[in-house]
Amino acid sequence: MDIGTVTLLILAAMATLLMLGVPLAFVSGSIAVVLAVSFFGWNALFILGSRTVEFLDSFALIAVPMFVIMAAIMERSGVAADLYRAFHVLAGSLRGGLGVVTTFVAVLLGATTGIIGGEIVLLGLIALPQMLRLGYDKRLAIGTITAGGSLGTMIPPSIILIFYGLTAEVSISHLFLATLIPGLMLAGFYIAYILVRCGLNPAMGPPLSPEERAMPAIEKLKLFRGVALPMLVAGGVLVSIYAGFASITESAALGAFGAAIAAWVRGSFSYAMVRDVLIQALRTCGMVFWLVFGTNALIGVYNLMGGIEFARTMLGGISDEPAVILSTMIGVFILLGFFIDWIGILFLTMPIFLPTLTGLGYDPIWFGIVFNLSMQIAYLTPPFGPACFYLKGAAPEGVTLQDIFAAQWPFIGLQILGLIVVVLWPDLSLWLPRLVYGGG
Amino acid sequence: MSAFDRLALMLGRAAAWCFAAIVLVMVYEVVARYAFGAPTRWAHEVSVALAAIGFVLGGAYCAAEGTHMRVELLVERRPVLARLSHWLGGIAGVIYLGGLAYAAWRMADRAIWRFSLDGSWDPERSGSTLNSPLPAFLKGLLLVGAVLFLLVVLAKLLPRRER
Repeated sequence: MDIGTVTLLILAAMATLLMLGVPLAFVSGSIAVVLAVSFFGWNALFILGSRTVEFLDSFALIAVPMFVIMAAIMERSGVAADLYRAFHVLAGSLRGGLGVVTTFVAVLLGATTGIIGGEIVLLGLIALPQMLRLGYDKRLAIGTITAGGSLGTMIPPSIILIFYGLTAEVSISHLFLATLIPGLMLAGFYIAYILVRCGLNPAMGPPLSPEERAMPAIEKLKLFRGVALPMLVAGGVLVSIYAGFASITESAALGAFGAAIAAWVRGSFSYAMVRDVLIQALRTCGMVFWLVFGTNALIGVYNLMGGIEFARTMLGGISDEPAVILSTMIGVFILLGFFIDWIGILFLTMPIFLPTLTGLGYDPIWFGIVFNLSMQIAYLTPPFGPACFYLKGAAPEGVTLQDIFAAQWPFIGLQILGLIVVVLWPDLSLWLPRLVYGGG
Repeated sequence: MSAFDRLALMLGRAAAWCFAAIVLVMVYEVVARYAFGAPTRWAHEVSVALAAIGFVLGGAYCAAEGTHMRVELLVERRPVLARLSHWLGGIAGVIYLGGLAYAAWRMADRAIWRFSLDGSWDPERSGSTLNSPLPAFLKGLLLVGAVLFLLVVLAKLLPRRER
């Protein structure tokens, strides 16, 4: 059997198993075992074990549970709710002001976490009822939360970029800087969209009620007292990473420790909280890492069969024009994003895409940001947009999944615009790391 | 819930504390480096070992809890497929985890069951300044994690006894 046929069979088997609800971790893993044994015999199973151990033996990976712990502590100690309350009074008489505030708070929350699920649930619980109470357009309010909440991976620290950095063997702190401007730009797009829509049609996003606006400035400032320390912790982590004070893993652990202290100061630190937070970290790691083990095994066996070489040749043969190949890759990201999670996409495609891409003279740091932006789109797109399902779990009565899906399209449009801008002007992402770390 | 489910949940809950230990180890390492001017030799490898315990046992934990990521949309719309999905998922799991457990067993056997010429135990070591037996530990750990995960998946496939 030639490698082209095998590749098609692998894709068909993956699609079938995925659609039938087989856990993602088993889909690629079982295919890897079948391929290894039938093509090379039992000894080839070694590659599964050695690739998994190699993956486990990585210090940078520990940043993942550390960031999960930091985010979960912040979440449980009620920082997000306080943050929203503090900013919410600033919306004032501005039409669509609350939508702008929600986006702004989403960006700040993004800096305390690299995971989107928790952030969307939080905003769905806190911000959505507020916006609906004021009489916001349902779709505008929903879209603001799913799109804003997904920004968590665009704003450093970002779990996606940690895994990308490990796979592509590029500096994670460079990636964290490179994503900053595109991430803020995307937030800017959302804010501009909300302001324009509400400016044209004031009924879509009414201002705060007069009582809420009448709050004296000193009272408004007092609301910020409770969130100052947690925000300082989140900022400190980023500074520590960027300034090279400590490695990413160490900075993340310091952040988790700082978040615990902040929770203790707020009086919400307890044994039960620590236990739940640690279990949440274990659950996230169990889910994500076993998925990686399986995908990594499949890529290893496929490579042994000469598949990666084959896929690269196919990819390179599409066109002589680098831009066409690049567009194809982005198209694959978005297409796969309809069906599988970012981590699966990352580990399946990058071993094939990255060498081709660097061969064409593109910058792998910039490509990480392009990938990250593509995953923003993947979060929202029905029918498997994870952001939509997270929000459904937290949304108040009367918000259906149909409402949520329908609300995504304008924001998906804005994300595509952001992606195009970053593809056309790579300097938007590369300028900042160059400025801070120097080099060409 | 099978006995293996309960075992996996219990081990998972215990393993989660490894992450708390890492936080403390890392804080100590940074303090030691900046305040005492003496970074530790062990923080790095100890953290990798601790984290691996959580990562590896997390697989069986999520299986026992039923929180592994899967695409549920089609099965929800066509409930007829639920049995097929259950069996297919279980079989794929057994194939993968069986293969992984076999590989891990062969690797662990080689890495742990080693003796130097004078007959003393000599597991595979990291070769760093600390020279801990980290590689041997990781391989043994992967074997334990894969077997536990396999047992949890198998127990879900076997006919359930009514109690």
